[in-house]
Amino acid sequence: MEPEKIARLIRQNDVESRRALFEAYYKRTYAVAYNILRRRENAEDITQEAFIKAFQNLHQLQDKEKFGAWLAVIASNLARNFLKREKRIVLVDELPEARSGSESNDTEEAAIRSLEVDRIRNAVRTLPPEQYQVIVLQFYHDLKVDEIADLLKIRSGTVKSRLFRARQKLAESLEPDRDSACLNYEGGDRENA
Amino acid sequence: MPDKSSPNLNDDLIREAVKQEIEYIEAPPAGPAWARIESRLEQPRSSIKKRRFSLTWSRAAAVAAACLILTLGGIGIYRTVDFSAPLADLGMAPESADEVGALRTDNDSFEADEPEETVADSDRQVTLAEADPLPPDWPVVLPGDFRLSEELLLVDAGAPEYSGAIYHNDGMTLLLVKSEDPGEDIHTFLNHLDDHLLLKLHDLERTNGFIRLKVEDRPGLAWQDNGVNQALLVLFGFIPEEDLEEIAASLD
Repeated sequence: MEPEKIARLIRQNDVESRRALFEAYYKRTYAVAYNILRRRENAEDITQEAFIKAFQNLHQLQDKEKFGAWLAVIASNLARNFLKREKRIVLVDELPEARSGSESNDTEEAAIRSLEVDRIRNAVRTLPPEQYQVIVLQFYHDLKVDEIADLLKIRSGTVKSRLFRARQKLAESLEPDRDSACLNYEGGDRENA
Repeated sequence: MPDKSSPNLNDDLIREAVKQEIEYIEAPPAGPAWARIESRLEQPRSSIKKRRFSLTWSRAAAVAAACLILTLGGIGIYRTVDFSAPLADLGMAPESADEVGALRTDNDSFEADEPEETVADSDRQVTLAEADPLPPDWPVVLPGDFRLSEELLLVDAGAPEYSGAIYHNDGMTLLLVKSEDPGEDIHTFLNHLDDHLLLKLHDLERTNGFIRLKVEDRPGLAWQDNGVNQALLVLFGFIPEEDLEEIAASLD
């Protein structure tokens, strides 16, 4: 959705505008919650709660164009809090197989890239929620470190350290002789990773 | 940008992987989800207020404990308790988040469903950032079966940040606060805590290594442990001072 349209819908903030925003962001918000919780019912509840909180507090969103990122922060914070309360252990080997994003690629280079992306996807799934959160904000919502810090209300240095640690984990997934970052992950506990 | 730790890792690969992780997930149908959201959003506040009186006393007391935290001193520590959370967190049987949320409107100064971290009142703004990056290792259960409900970070302009934790047990609520500054004088810590919470801490008395204080008419303790200032305040319910001491001693 174009930034101007997002800003207009937020200003309007009526039922139709909310519906349009919901439809535009529902799936990705659910995905963020699901990727942290790994349980569909919980992710669905968290997603709904995130939208309700967002709609009830739209007036507090300074930069309307960052609605998607703001929503992702709300959803991921809710999911993180849920995990903290549940003290739930997410076993990595229970995760569904990553669906390949380049099944139709037939060149060797593309195949290697596809394999690397799949390995990183598996590694992304093992990131602790706070690292997953900053990775999503940087690489999906294209936010800068300062913008992430502002949204999360943490220091830029904290964002940088989380990004650094996350990248380290992702890099490990591409190390040679590593069959699968997922299978070799120590502990498999997203809470304590 | 190539990654130092792996010649293969670059931003494009991460971007592609994250994009796939988000966009390839099959979400449940949006229709029912929207219907529930719309229903919640359209729920008039007046009807919400009525329902709170239908709650049982025990539930009301437990939620009131949380509400009290939010309203003490006129501003409240907003967001210390996630009311959308299962009521099991408050030591109660689960019920709908709607009903829990209903009690939030008990006090006009407490606006429901603010964003995650911030609340403003007429005079000042209190921010509760997430309890990161290096939160204290809060015990999950304290003596007396007080259970950790929520971690928080007290943030206020001009005052150092303090980490805190809310504990509940059957209608009683404790706030445990630790200073992140090991060199801080304990009286300075208490003054800042007073500023943070807008709670009037009074009747300071030092015995048995504790500074005893009162929060309204409820007891509280403050002490230093390895140079780290800590305070344990009763926010709701009656807890004898000796029980508080036992809890404080268990934290060493």
